[in-house]
Amino acid sequence: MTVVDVRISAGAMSVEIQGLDLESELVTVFYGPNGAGKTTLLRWLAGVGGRRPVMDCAYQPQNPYLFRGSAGRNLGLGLDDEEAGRAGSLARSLGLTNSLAEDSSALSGGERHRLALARTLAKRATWVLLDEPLAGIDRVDRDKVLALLAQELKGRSAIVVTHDLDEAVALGDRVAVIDSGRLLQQGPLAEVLRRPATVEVAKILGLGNVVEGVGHEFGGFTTVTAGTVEVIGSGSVDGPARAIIPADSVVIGHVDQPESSARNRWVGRVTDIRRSSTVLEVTVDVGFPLVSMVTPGAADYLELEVGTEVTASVKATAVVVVPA
Amino acid sequence: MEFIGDVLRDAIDTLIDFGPQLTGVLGLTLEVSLLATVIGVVMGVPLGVALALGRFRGRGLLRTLVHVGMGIPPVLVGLLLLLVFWDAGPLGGLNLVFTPAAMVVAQVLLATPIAAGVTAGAVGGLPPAALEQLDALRLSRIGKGRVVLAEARSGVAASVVAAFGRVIAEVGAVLIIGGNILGETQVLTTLIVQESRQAQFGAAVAAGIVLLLISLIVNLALGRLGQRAELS
Repeated sequence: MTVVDVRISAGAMSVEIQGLDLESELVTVFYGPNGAGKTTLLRWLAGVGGRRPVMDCAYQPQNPYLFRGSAGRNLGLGLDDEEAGRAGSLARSLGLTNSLAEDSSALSGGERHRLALARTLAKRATWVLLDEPLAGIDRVDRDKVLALLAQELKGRSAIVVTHDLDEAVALGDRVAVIDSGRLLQQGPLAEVLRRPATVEVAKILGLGNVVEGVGHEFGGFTTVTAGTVEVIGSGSVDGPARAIIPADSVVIGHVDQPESSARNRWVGRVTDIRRSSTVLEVTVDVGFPLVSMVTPGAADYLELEVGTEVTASVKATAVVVVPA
Repeated sequence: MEFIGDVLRDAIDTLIDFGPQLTGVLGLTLEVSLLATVIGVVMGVPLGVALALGRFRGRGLLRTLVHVGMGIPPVLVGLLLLLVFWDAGPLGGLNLVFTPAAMVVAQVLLATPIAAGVTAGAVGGLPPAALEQLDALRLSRIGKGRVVLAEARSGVAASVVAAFGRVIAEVGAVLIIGGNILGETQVLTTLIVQESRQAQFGAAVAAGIVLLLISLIVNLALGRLGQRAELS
């Protein structure tokens, strides 16, 4: 295991992390939103820009660049014969067979990424450092590439930077959650997902709402009581507990809507509506601020605006209760 | 206008005739300038790559020296070399004053900074993603150089053209260190100076046309070479 203390100032980005655990023969995912400092950290570890690399590594930057010449020539750059052979077979597995004879400029963005991936994985190095390895790869190929990448990285010492939870779950043994140049939490991926240390981490991991309270277990489910509010979720916790409510599982409805099968049903007023990419993040005060993902069409239909009284409901099976 | 017409007719007559004097001057010009360009490029291009990509002590100083060298007046280079090679000078024992060898040395001093400076600009101007990828590949120094030169080939070809342009057009240095001795150290530019001074305008213009043609041919040849260079 390598423990890294790092302090980097690169332009507007500053990263200050103490005690970053990098375990050998495991895949560590650097997870966090865009601009969190993950790439800055990875480049520092890889020794880009004339510094000495922290570890013996094969590093692939976020934007793979192919030099003049054929794709095949680029595939072999920096590799010895044995590595080049392996790169060739990896490239074939990644569906690049026909493109290798072509001029590098003829390759699509996705092909460039796959070529770079094959070359980096083929290199004999103790560590593999990949920055958003699936970023440029289109949906159709993504699952295939992800599966191959997971298989190739298994048992190797690797760091993968991503802001995609699917990728993190598919590839990662361990995760380091990073935001604003700080390490928020690190540990085995399953553990961090199960027990986000802070609400911030839970939000970054896309888990949405975290309610802290006292848990009472009943037949595989737990009621978490926080003040006057009760949240029912799956999990067995007696005592201090956290209920994690995914924002995209929360259903917003009219107050006069009939009851449904959802075990959690609260009434409250909308306190905030903000747009994030294609959906609206609607916050409802139900005794705690509950964030829900709502499509713009649904928001129009419900005539949602700040102050509107609504019901918010979520199935107990969608809520995860963990010990606090 | 009659005067210009007469000069041009004279020049064309000289070119058609192309006597042994002009042939000899042309030969020496090509010999000195091409040799100086080759040496200057062989030293200057790697220096330019190192300036653009390398991280070593004294890089800033070296860069400044190259920039000064790119603009240094040839007359000054000629004078400095004359002092160095003069009988009583530090390298007087080499007996290089007024020899083609000294002219080559002078022109190498003029060509190298140009080759280095233009190459450094071309390599440094590659997209940041290219430079980052180059770093990530961890190539050997030679491997890195080859990839970079192929990638920045048009800029590198421009550096060769610029270096050759500087030496073939230059008159001050070769005049001082070569002495413009007929049949020994006279080149096209110094021939033009001499013929103009003696009001032999036809001969001067003829030499000028030859100079222009050389530049044109070299530019075309290097342009084609630059396009053909591939990553190998």
